[in-house]
Amino acid sequence: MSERRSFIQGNEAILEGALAAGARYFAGYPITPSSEIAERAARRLPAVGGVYMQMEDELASMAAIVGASLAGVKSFTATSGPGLSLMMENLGVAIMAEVPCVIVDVQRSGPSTGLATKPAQADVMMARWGPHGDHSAIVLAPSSVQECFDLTIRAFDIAEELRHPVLVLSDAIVGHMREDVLFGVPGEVTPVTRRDPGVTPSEYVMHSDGPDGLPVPLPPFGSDYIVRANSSAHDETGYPSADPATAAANIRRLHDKVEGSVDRITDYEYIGSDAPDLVLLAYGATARTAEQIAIDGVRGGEVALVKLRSLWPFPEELIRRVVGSAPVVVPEMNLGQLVREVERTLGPDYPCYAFNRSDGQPIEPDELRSFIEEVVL
Amino acid sequence: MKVRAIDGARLEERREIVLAGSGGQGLVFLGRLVGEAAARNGLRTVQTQSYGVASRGGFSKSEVIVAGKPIAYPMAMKPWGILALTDQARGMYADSGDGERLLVYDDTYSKTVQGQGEMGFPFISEARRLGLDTSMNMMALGAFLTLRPVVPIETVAEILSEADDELGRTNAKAFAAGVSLARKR
Repeated sequence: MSERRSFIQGNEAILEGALAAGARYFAGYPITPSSEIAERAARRLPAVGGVYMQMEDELASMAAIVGASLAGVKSFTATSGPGLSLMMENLGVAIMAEVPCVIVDVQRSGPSTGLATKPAQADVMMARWGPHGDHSAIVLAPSSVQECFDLTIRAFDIAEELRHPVLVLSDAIVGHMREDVLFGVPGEVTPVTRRDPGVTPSEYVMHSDGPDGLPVPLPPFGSDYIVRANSSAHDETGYPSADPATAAANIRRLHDKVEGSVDRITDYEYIGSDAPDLVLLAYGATARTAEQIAIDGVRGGEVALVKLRSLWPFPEELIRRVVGSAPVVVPEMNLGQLVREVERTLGPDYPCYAFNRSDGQPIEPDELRSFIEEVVL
Repeated sequence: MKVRAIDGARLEERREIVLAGSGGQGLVFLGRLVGEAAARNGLRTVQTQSYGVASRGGFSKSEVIVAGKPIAYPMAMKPWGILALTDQARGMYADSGDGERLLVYDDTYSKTVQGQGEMGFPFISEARRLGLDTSMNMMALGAFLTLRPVVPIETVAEILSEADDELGRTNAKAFAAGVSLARKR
């Protein structure tokens, strides 16, 4: 039988997903509600020949995983909002130097220390726009323990394919709940491995695209290949350049490789009939509330759910296609973040409603149902 | 891992239980035990819990949902069973659930009489009498699951028997004692 059913926490499933993806280096600084990831990493990584680094802070953690990835090892870190704030500088380095790595943010209520043990979904825009400068972002959002496992593997795959950091945006509810989960059997999960550059060292151009249109693979630092991981504006070889045309081409390329891959990255689930009277658009723990409503139904119409498993790049085409002309409700444990993108996508005249809660508590099915029945339908 | 078929048309339905009391009573451990037993029986299950300072004293709880199909909302909405190990917890859930719900509580020190939809057991005094003080929570779980069988009690007993130490053996004894306590009612 190819099934192994376990009963574990979302945070533990993220670590198992990272191991299944072939990650062998973790550097981090524990923070509630993500600490179980570091804890399990410390126990599990050495057993598979990997390295766990307890860092002095989150700045160093992010720097360390960029370094480890440049050295040829799949690497990751895990934190919560306050820690993610500190990682932004080196996250920008990873984007600029095209270094694949995975960052897990188990969101808690903020700003600042906030309600340290309580859930939120208020890092959606930080995950998109946190580092300064023109850049893109790749963000996946699990809503179950199973998705914690599956999407973490996916995050490493996308990171390798696009040579770009990928964020897994979880939350305190998903991170701490335990569910039955099916792990892939080792050997059956086939993660994207880092390939050979396919050209000789003298032919290698670090910031160019291969025949498949994807960035050329990254050879390990210290090999015969010249690897210039440059955070300053640079040309194709990684050599610094202040030439406006070169800078424009570089920024445009970094942006386009992500935005142009929206179909490759977009992951969602649709629950409901073909022609619903209302579409719920949700992600993370809130998608579970929305799913309950899609199952139980509401008075006055049929409800469908679009459960987004990827948030950035924002899947505009998908949203336009699936909503038809039905009113859209976007419930979020924040004061309205992703709903802005939905509104922008559907236009100012489209019936789009936000339902928000930002007090460290989950959105309950009853309150969302009342809103739908009394305000929307 | 063993997967057993269960006679469960009834368990296709979503069943919610709440294990409530005070931090340190092992409520999260009880919840994990029930969830593990559900997973071993091929059931879908979610367990959530109080997190933070509550787990070190004061009101604390662990919730488990068990179903034969995927579970959407992961928290209890209408608990079928509540195990309340303090009067505070009993009071908090006095009006929860519907006519079917059962609240099992410890009446060793309780000053109020048994109410509608409630069932009191002397878990603390019974555990002391049997020399199983440290496993009072397991005795309560045994009685509770006998009355609200969201998972087969044999599976829980099996998991407890796998812990090969003194506490494990005490837990298994207390759990069995709780089962017979409830069966005598």
